[in-house]
Amino acid sequence: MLLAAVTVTPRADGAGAPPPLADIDSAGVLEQVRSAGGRLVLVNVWATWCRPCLEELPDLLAAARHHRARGVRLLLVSADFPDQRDAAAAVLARLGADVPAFLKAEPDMPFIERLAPEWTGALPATLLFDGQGRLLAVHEGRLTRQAIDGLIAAHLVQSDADPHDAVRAEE
Amino acid sequence: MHRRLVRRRRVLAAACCAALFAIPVPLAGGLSLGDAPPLADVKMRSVDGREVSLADVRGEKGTLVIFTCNECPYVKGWESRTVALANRALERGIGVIAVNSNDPGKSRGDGFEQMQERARRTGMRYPYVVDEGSRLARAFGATRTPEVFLFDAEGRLVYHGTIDDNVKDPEAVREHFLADAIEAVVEGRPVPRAETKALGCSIKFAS
Repeated sequence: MLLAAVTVTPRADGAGAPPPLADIDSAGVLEQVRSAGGRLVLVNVWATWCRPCLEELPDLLAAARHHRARGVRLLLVSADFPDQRDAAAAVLARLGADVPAFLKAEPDMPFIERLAPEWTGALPATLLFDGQGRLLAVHEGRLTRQAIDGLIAAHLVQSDADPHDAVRAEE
Repeated sequence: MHRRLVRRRRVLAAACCAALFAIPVPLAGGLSLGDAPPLADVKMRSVDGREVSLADVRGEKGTLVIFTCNECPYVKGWESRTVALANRALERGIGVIAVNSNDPGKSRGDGFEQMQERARRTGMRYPYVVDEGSRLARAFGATRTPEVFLFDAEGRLVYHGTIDDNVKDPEAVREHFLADAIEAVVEGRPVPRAETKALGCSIKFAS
């Protein structure tokens, strides 16, 4: 069940607790993907205890800002346990996260299977969807900024291209 | 025509790039149900100082291989249940081995002494070994901790996946995946649910 979308942004004066992350399940994630208004939507599943997750988050956020004008959106889903909800929000606030962020609220197996059956469950995981919610790619483990840019560029170029035109050119 | 050729090149370049980020096949390069354990004769250093291979621990009824580590919250959440299940499996003729494939250089807390301490503290009655170079994890196609592979008496993979359906709350578990698989193997029955998944910590593979 999708409760609410929360965009986590730190207060300018740095004071006060960050807003809590709303619960989300796989159906909610797909709904968010389809309503994001993007050509490509990266869904990153992370956790506060996951060091590679924390290492890649700044790169993901920077890449999302850099590619936003090209129709790229980022959605963050924390896989922390519910008692770490505030800690997860605090991490995102500290990073200046300016994208929708949620807390996973669904048993693991249906969450994994409904979003990306190819995903083994390892964290971090970055799932790439098109704007209609079709899964394009799955990456497990930390992504570098270069790899994020490569992933986005490859799929943006692909969506730009008209394969029928390419076939005609071949002829 | 020139524009078309440029576009065609862009399509081909995109296809090549996209291939780099293609959706991986589950257990790519790893095991499928029915497979035998790879690298079964490779010796690995256990916390008690012995050198142990998968073949060494093979049980009369089957073999349970547990990819695990010291620090992962998912491992810790399931720890007491996993050790209890594994110790019980030993008593029922299933060989057990716990494998730490994390590169200790990348994962603080996964050094040999910490492994020894964890094995003592949790009461493991089976080897807890170092997977040097993450070779076994790569050969199995293991990606996370905890992740278990259960082989039957003939050495065929009959169960791959997770412990149960609730890492956080043992009282709320509804599906006892590994316990049911062990029971089936001990009794020589087909495993009711042969593949399951859960979130877990990515294995910190050695470079």
